[in-house]
Amino acid sequence: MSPLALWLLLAGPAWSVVGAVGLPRLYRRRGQDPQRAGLAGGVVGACSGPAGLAVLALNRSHTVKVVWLWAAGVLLLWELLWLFARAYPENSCVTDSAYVLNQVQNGIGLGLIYAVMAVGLALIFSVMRIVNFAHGQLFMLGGVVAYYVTPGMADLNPLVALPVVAVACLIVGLVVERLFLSPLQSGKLDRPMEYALLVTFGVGILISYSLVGFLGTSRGLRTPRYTDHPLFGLDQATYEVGPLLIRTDIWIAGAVGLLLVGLLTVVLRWTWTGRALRAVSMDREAAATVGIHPRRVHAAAFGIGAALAGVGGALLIPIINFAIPQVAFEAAVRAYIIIVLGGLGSVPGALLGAMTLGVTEALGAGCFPDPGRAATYQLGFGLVLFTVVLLVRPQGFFGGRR
Amino acid sequence: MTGWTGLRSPATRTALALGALGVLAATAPFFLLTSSYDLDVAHQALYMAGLCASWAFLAGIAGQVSFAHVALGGIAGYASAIWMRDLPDAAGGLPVALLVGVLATTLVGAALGALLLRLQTVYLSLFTLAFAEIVTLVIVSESELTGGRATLQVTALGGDALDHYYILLVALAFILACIYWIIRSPLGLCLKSMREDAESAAAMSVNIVRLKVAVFVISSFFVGVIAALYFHTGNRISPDQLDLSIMALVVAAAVIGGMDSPLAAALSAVLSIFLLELLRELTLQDAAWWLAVAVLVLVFLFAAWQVVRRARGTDREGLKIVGINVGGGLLLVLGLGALGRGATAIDAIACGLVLGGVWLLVQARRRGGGRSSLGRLSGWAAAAAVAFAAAGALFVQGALTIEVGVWRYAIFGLILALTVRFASNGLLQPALERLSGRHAEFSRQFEAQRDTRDDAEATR
Repeated sequence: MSPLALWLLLAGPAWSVVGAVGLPRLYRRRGQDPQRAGLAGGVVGACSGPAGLAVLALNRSHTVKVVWLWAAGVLLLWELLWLFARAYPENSCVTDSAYVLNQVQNGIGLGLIYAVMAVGLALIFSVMRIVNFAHGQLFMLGGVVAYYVTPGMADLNPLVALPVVAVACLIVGLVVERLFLSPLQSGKLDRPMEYALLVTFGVGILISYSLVGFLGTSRGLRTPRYTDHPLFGLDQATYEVGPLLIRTDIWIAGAVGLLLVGLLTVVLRWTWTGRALRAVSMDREAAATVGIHPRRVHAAAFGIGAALAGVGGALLIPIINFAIPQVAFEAAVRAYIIIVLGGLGSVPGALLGAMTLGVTEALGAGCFPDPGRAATYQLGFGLVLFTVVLLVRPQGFFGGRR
Repeated sequence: MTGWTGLRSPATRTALALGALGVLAATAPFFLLTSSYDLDVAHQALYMAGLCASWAFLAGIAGQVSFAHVALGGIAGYASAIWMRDLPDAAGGLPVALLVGVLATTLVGAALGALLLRLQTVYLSLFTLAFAEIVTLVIVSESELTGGRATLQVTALGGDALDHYYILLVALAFILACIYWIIRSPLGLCLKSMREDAESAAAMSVNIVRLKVAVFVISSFFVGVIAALYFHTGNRISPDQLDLSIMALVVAAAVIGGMDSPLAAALSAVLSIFLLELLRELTLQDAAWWLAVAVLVLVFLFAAWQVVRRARGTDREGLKIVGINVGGGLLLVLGLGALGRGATAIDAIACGLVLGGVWLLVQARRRGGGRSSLGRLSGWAAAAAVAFAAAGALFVQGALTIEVGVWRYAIFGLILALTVRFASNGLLQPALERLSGRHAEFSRQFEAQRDTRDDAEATR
């Protein structure tokens, strides 16, 4: 082990602790704002030791500190990667750049599929100011509807199930909104967020176990694949484009996902309904004053959100087999990580967050030293990302504090 | 009769009710829980009751909705099981292992609290859901340490199943006592003020962040206690016991009981577990028949409720109509019962239409035949007719068997959603308050407050 690696492994954490504990105390004693000083001290101490900490301790300019913190973050990331490369010199991620590139493009493709579901969740949050805890179950419902519809349409690509799924989930969403979420507009609830959380959680259990009642618990529900009935003659599982190995199924679904998110953006920007949705998400009272009916807007938001969740499920079920009912929780966890990454309630944030999560998962699973565990830990890398975001930037990419 | 207020005093009634409950719980193994299977279910029920009480403390009293309780409990179980397996000769044996489990849970809870509780409440819910999912994944993948998807052997506590029952019961009583002690202490007031309005509480010099972390740690500690004991009543632990669906059960039971009251949540958990266990094997033969009857009864109850609601305080005619309506409905039910399996789909549809029509006419007459009310009512009538006809068609199709056992969790979820929607205090909590006489006390206080406020407004 080289001296540098040794220093990083031993002294880094020690200085990190010194920074994390000492810096806020120092700032507090001086009467400066100690907020996030602990984090800054930890990061800077870990990557650059006493030298970096000295800059933070002595310099009083805010700009210098912010620049220094970001530089330290990048440096820390670089050092961690370097340590990883030292520890596992045989790992494909270290030796093979084409492999890394492939993981990234795979991740982006997967991210675009996740984005459909996450965008629905973000839309619901932005308009109704609630988190839908039945989102994963609606996702699963979409997949199951596709499972029933697709074989009925023999010799057609699974994509033809999408309109049916969208309509089915839209109806379910509208019914749920009307039955359970209408009190949100009355303004009489003490804690609307908590109310919505619990009520949608109950609806989620209902959907989840109704599907179990119909189907039984299933380790893997599978439908025909995208390549079984080829679209535009794309019948091979993978295509080689330069150094990249494009997976047909992921990128067909990803392209449709991107298309849908684009469509949603167009709807939000240029149609009356979309403008009403945006107006309510910006200012509820002002929207009501200019004649936008909150009940209809709420219904539209939840219906569209539910439909997007369902379509997300229908896009993914030809790629992975659905384990009923566990798949709902996994999907929900991904959706939550994504909207926190992007900033709660931000649609473009959700798209960016989804791609970030996809790439993180793909790289994490692809580079994990023990391939046997890599697949099960896929979701775990998302949790690491979640933790880092909560520590560093809890408002997400595009979220202002509201 | 001076001084002693008898059964009217809330304190006496509460003491009596709690005593009766304690006696029931302590003697239940002798007449209710006679088989070892019953005792196993009872262990699970007490475990869930502990989780529900601690969840209600965190979510109901302090307003922090977490989904990590079952996962935290699993951490306690696994930590102590691994400690016992790898260090069997360490000093202390099982008690130390249990302590290790409790400590592990409390530490993880503290870490979660420190990470999350600076942020808005919703981040806690989102992150703990993800955390719970990942804990299971980690336990499944780290199979050298945890035994993976297979079970991990656990050293059972000494004694037999009956002893374990009492151990868990004592632990549950300890947890509830602690919770109520905290709620009644100044800390409890701080918690409630934080739940109602964090900003105002902060302005009154309540240290919100420290309080939130403290309450999370305390709640995790309770989870650790009950879980460490529970997992050592059996001799194995598996990742399935940490599944998020069990957390869903905890949330559902606590909310259905009433999440503002840990005792109601705990009772609700016990009842739910036994009820779900009873429903497990239940299969309804000729389910369509029951479905038809259920639809009919529900429709009539709804109709009666609507009429009562509208007629209340307006005139006496409304009540007469209720009588006609309900009586006619009962006759219809009885008639259909007499028809038995000889009924046809046509009969069912006819019944449904008659039902809808009668209701429509009654309502229209009562309301003076206004168009808007007619329109709304005809919608309901049509829905009732369609539902009833559908049930009748199923009925005629023949023996439709419904395995209630498969649907029991779905029903549970529906009850959860309906409870949150229509009975925000839960189903057991109001009953408990009424039993203890606290309800009357609260409503007196409330009315007094309202009167004072009204007076103040009037003078202004």
